[in-house]
Amino acid sequence: MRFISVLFLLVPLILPAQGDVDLIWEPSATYTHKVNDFWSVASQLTAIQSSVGLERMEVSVMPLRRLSPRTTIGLGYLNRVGSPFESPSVIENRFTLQYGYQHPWRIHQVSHRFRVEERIRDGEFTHRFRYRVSLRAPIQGDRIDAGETYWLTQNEGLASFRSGDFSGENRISVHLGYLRQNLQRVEVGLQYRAESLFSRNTVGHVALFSTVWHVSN
Amino acid sequence: MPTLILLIACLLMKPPIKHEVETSINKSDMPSAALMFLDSTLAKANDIRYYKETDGQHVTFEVKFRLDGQEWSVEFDPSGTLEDAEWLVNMKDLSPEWRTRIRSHLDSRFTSWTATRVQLQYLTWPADLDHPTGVELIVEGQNSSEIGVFEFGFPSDDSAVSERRVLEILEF
Repeated sequence: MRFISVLFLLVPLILPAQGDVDLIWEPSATYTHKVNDFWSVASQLTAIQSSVGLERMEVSVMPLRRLSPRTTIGLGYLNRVGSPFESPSVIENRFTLQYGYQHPWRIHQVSHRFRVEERIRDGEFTHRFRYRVSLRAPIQGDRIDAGETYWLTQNEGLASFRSGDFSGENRISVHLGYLRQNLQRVEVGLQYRAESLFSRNTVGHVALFSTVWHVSN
Repeated sequence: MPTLILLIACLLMKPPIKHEVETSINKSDMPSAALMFLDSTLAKANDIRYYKETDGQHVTFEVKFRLDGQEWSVEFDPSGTLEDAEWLVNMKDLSPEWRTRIRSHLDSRFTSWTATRVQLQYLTWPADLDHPTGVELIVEGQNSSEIGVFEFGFPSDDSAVSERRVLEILEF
């Protein structure tokens, strides 16, 4: 019920843009291989599917080191082919440095993620800084147990610098998730992106329907 | 030598993962004997919630409520017989004896730890607040080979401390 309420809160954010909103499906699969308590490797395969067809594929891998029960750091690489929101299609290589911190807050799990990215496209370098806050809570009960559903809300701010130009972006999303016994989980969500903020370009609006299948050992 | 054996045993033993499912239920789904048992308490309590909990073998019914500003959960078996009552407290609320015992155990188990949830357990209701039968803790801890969230049960007698890992969803 809380998930539906938040979903309705998102609708007015999307509606004002009307004509210039693209609705896109973003299917994604992630596999996290836990080497031991301290080391794990997170890999992800993501696609972007619009009414035109398959517009983007990307694969990423990130070794992660858990520094404490609440903190992790990671260094990752991403390769992307295609670019649905900007033309023409390109191949992108991206290197990411990540710091994560998560802590309990009442029945919620709060996660903060800071990322510094170096995006390389057609020989051009873009520096990007990201901060995402996530709030996860059980739909029933006081904690998320195996076999239960949960809701997840996220908000992420992004700042990009390229050749002296600055551009901002904000992504807000709500997801409904289901945790299986063996740490597999499935999430479906709706994300709204406001792009090209604080830049000379017109602000772009993107609505994404996402489905994520998480597998972990 | 015994210390070495204990150390190797600790390194080799993986605590069992905690797999419990707690589901919200309506008051009408609670065993009637349990509701009758708590009748006078619930008349004074607020923020009352009802749950059914199973770990795959054992089914229990739980009532969570606030009473005089304190958070309580009282657990029953399917017939409505009282199993235990738990009072949510802070580490500093524990008696010095309990604190010393818990700190001593966790200091030997982890290089660093934080108790995120502390509950005093009672086998009677109304509870005899000064005489808990045990303390249950959720602990974030780490040592040279382990890092994560653990649940510990400290009984008031000399029986062994129970321990199991808590299922974690790590956000990347």
